[in-house]
Amino acid sequence: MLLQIHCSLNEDRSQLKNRRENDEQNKLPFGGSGFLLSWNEDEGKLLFVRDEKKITALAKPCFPWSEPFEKISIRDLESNELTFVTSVNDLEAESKQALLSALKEACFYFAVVKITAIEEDFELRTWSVETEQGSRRFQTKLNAWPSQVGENRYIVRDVNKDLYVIENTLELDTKSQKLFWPLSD
Amino acid sequence: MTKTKKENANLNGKQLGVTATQLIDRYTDQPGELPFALRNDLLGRMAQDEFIQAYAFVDLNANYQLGEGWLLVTNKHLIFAKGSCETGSHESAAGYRFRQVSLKDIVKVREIGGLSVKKYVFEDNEGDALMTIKVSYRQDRALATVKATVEAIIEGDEIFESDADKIYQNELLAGIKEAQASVMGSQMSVIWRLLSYLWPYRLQVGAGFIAAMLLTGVSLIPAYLTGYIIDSAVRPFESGALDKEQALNMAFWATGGLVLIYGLRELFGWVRLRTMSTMGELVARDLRDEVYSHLHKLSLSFFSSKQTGSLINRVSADTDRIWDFVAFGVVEVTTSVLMLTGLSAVLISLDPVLGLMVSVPVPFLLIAIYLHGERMQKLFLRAWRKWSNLTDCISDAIPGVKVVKAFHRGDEEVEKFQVKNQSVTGAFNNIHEVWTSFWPGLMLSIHAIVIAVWFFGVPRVFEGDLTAGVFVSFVLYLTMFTQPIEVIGQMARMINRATSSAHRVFEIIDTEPSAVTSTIGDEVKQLEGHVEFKNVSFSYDGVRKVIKNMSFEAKPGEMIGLVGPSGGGKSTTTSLLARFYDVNRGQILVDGKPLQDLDVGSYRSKIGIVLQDPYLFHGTVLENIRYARPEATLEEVMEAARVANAHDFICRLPYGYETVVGERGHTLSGGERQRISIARAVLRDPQLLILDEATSAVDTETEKKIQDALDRLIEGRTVFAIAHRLSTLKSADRILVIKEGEITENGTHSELMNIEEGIYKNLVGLQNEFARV
Ligand SMILES: Nc1ncnc2c1ncn2[C@@H]1O[C@H](COP(=O)(O)OP(=O)(O)OP(=O)(O)O)[C@@H](O)[C@H]1O
Ligand SMILES: [Mg+2]
Repeated sequence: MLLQIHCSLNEDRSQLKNRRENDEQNKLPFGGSGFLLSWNEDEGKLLFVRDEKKITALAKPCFPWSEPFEKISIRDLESNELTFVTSVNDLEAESKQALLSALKEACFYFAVVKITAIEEDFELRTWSVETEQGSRRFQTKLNAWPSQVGENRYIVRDVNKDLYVIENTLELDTKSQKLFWPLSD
Repeated sequence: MTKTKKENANLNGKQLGVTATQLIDRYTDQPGELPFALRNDLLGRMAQDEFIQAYAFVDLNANYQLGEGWLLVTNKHLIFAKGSCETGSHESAAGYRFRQVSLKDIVKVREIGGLSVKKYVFEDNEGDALMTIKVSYRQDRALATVKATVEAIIEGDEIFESDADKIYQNELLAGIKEAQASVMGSQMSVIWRLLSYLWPYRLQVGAGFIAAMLLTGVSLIPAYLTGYIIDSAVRPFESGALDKEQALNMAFWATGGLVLIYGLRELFGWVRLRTMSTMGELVARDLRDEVYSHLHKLSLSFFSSKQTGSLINRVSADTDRIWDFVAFGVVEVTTSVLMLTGLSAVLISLDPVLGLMVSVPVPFLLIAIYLHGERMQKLFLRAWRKWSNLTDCISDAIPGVKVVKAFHRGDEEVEKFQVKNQSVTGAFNNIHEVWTSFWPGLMLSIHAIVIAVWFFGVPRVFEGDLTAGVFVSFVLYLTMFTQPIEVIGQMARMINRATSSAHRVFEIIDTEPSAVTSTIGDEVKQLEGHVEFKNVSFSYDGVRKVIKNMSFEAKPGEMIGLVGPSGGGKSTTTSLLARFYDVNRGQILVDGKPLQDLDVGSYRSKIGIVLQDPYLFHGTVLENIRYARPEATLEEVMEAARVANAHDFICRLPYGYETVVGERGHTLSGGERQRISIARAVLRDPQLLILDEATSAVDTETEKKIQDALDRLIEGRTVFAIAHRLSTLKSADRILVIKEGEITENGTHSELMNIEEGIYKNLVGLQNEFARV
């Protein structure tokens, strides 16, 4: 037990140090000892380039609901942190574009624009919705309530762990609002 | 795909009452199987000896829009078929565009998860993507199967022709079935099934029903009799047509009749209540017995997918609700319907005009009550939501009260609670507002009918069109209308509640016992303790492999130490050995026989397990130790406790071995619990012993004591011991290092110490360094 704490303390300390270094690198002008991000559209791959070395990377927003474009951890495929981007705006144009493309993928969810029906079945609640991506029918458990993230913003997670987000309940049409009302917070 | 296979798949689905394709149709908006046209196209494209192994639906296109695509893996190719209206060069007759990759070219399959999207990248040897697929998580299970199939083929594993349709359907429905293990066609089928439980008690049910019907019939008589007395005795007497003697005589007979009627009425009432409620209790008992005994046949995975509370509820609260429905609901609804039709018939026959005036509004009242119920349901749903917010708040803060105090957040917690409490109150007051105004309103409409009867009836009495007696009977009958209307109006809700309870109960009964608990297999009489894992792979959820291709051997009498990072799969390995779960691939051999071929009960009775998180039942220490072998003598129990070094502390407990421990009893420390569970394992005198961190929760001195106990214990047995503290394993013959589901190092202490950069060596180094501090 103690041993584990001991180890993780050390790990934390070294990570802290890394982060500080990374922050400093972030401030460096593009090039030099900084890094570059590039996006390969065909393969949907984010590449992290530093010192001529190319590493396939993943972008992980730390606060996907509150600040999806800020505080992003760039990690390699083994999930080691390569660098930490405080805000996409800190990056120069190409890297920024690349990161935004990667984030579009990492932060994908279904954006609900209309609720056509919510029906109860045994143990399940079936939702029929129109999303920006097309129409969809999905199920939640009866006691799995939508969770509120921000004012009037709700996330519904279905039995398969897919996410459906209502950006603003007040912007839904009246029928959708009526259907959603009993489930809102 | 051959036809017979498809029929098989359908048959399997039918056992649940509905076919898998019907379910997919009911719950999703995607095809229930590979479209016929696409299948045809594919047959044209595939080679003679090529067949489809597995497929998945691809619901997202490159621009993250929902669309139709299919990813198929055959024994030779990975094929992506995109359903599209656009025209492309490879377009097929059915409008599909194909992209095809030879499995030989695929080297690696990479998966990347986003918030609600999963990307699969099939890469060649240079790490370039040959194919990239995006899906929502709904398709993920099916895609994981495609991926696993691709990997199995490129690794050269032997593959068999499989039923791709069934795999696709099962994987797609897995999420839904977790929430709703059995899917019944409709509410009606649930009710029929529930009623089938009444069959063994059909005599009682018959008696109850006859009593209820007679009761209803008899109830109609007093009002009629009142009118009859008025018309045949009171009024003729007043007009002088009847003398006092005759009138009294008639009144006497009528009163006698009334006595008889009331007597009969209550007699029937007694018979009905008595038979139905005792019979309901018997039905509930049958259900409880069936559910509980079935529960114990189910696999551990079933239990991990359901909350304990919900299972407890199903056995208790749900069966209670069913009792309510069976004992009263069924009868009440039928008698109410009888009552209403009987009343209407009597009224119309007494006086057609007034009768119709009363009967015609009844259906409208019923509809009003029904609509009111629907509205209430919405309000109740909201209140339920608010209510669960409140209870979540409590159930979160109370167990965490130490943290609350440590961070001095008590006031904030109270504030948070008050806000939620306020909003619950709001939701419930909403409900009260609605129902409190509805029922007086409904009563008002019923009064309006009464007024109408008076308004039109009274003048007709004076005109001599209607006798006073009939009018009085009428008014009396009217008072009997309200109750059955109420009952029928609330019938929908009552049936809803009962069927959802019944459904929850049937869900357990319908869950098939896992193979793991079936008792077919060779009985294990004697165990030598030879264990062999052969290419074992295992996954809890069917997606993430927790054990990967694990192979090792343990000879009788050997002590094997398992070490490695947390979450590496050590406990899972031992769970597989105890056959809590069945392996997905590969084989576990015990004394040379596959574990699946052994009778579980007799096998488990020959092994001893000390779990990582020892559980003590509510009961005495004695009972807890004896759980392993109820017939053990007190001496044997004490001996086992001594071996486990538990005897001393047990003697210090207020009532010695008869001290009550467990959930509500005397709280024991983690180390004490562990030693009791070691004693439990010792009492069994097992040939195969599994110790999952038996010494994790104790201080060094106690550890030494347990260590001594174990040293005595392991002699002549095959032992698997998991430990974080390596000193525990000093007597181990061999040590396996398990990391990420794989054995990375295997050998004796000194062999492993010779591996440069080895995990074990590193761990030993760290612990020694730590010991010096
Ligand atoms: N019942 C379960 N359902 C789903 N996943 C599980 C279950 N039990 C364990 N796992 C997962 O399987 C992996 C292996 O777990 P396991 O308990 O075997 O690890 P371990 O090596 O015993 O770890 P520790 O040293 O912490 O006890 C973990 O990632 C864990 O999250
Ligand atoms: Mg463990």
